[in-house]
Amino acid sequence: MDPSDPEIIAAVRAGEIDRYDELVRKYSPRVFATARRYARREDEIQDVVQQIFVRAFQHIGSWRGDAPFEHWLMRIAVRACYDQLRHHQRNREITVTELDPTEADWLARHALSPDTDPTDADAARSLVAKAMESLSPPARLVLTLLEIEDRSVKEIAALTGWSVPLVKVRAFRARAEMRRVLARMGVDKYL
Amino acid sequence: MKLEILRNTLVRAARRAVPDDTVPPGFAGRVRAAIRALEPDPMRVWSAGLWRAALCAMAIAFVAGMFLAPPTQPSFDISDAGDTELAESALPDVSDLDPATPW
Repeated sequence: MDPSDPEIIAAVRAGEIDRYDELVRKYSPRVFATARRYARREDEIQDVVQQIFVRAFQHIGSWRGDAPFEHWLMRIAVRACYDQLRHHQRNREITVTELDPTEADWLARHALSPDTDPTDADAARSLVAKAMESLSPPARLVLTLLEIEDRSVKEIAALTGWSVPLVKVRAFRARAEMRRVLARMGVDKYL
Repeated sequence: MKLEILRNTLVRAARRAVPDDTVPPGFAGRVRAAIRALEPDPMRVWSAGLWRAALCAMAIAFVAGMFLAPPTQPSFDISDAGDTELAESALPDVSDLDPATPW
C-alpha cells in the first residue's frame, strides 16, 4: 500500500527530503494541467510548476493537516499562476489580436445559429485562448476558475485569498472585460 | 446581448477541453535539484552565525559600557569656595605678570 500524504509529509519534515519526490510525482499532472490554463509556452509552464513545488516544500511546515494536501498545494499553484500572469502582464506589449480564417468561419456559423454549439471546437477554444490572453490578470484568473473550471465563489475565495464579495465584483468586471475584448477583436461584425 | 451569447458559447467550448496534464520526463529530478540548491552551505551558515554573534556581543558591550563605565570628566562646580581659593592662591593673576619677564 502506498504511504499516505501525511506520512510522506512527516518524513519530509523529519529530514527525508528525497521522499518529497513522491508528492511531486503524484501531483505533477494536476499542477501541470492548472499551469497550462494560464501560460502557453512550455518552458514558462515548467518554470511555474517547479516554482510551485519548491514553494510548497519551503512552506511544508505550515501544512496543518486539517485539509487535504492537494487543496493546500492547489492554493499555492493558483497563487503562483496569478503571480506569473501579473509578471507577464508587466512585460508584454499590448497587441491587437486578429482572427484567423478558421475562427472567422466559426463565428460566421455561430451567427447563423447562435443557440446551437458549432462543431469546430478547436476554433472556439482558440478564440477563447486569444480573448483570455487579452484580459487583465484578475479577470483571467476569476473567469478561468469560475466559468471554465466551474468552481464556486467560495472555493475561488479560498484558492485566491480574496474575499467572497471581491470575487463577485471581479467576476462581474471580468465578464464585461471579456465582452469588450471580443468586440475589440472584431467579432461583433459577425453577429 | 449577442456578445454575451457568444461569450457563453466560447466558455462552454473551453470548458469541454480536457486540460493537458502531461508531465515532462525527469521533472521530479528537476524539482529535487532545485530543492537541493536551496539547502544552505554549512560554511555560510557558520560564518553568518559568527557574524551575528559578533554583532550581538558588540551591542551588549556598548550598552554595558554606557551603564558601568565611570564618567570620564569629574564634576566641577565653579561656585565651590574651596576650589576658588585654591585657584586664587596657587595661580597668579594675569595682571600680576610682568610682560618683560621671560618665561
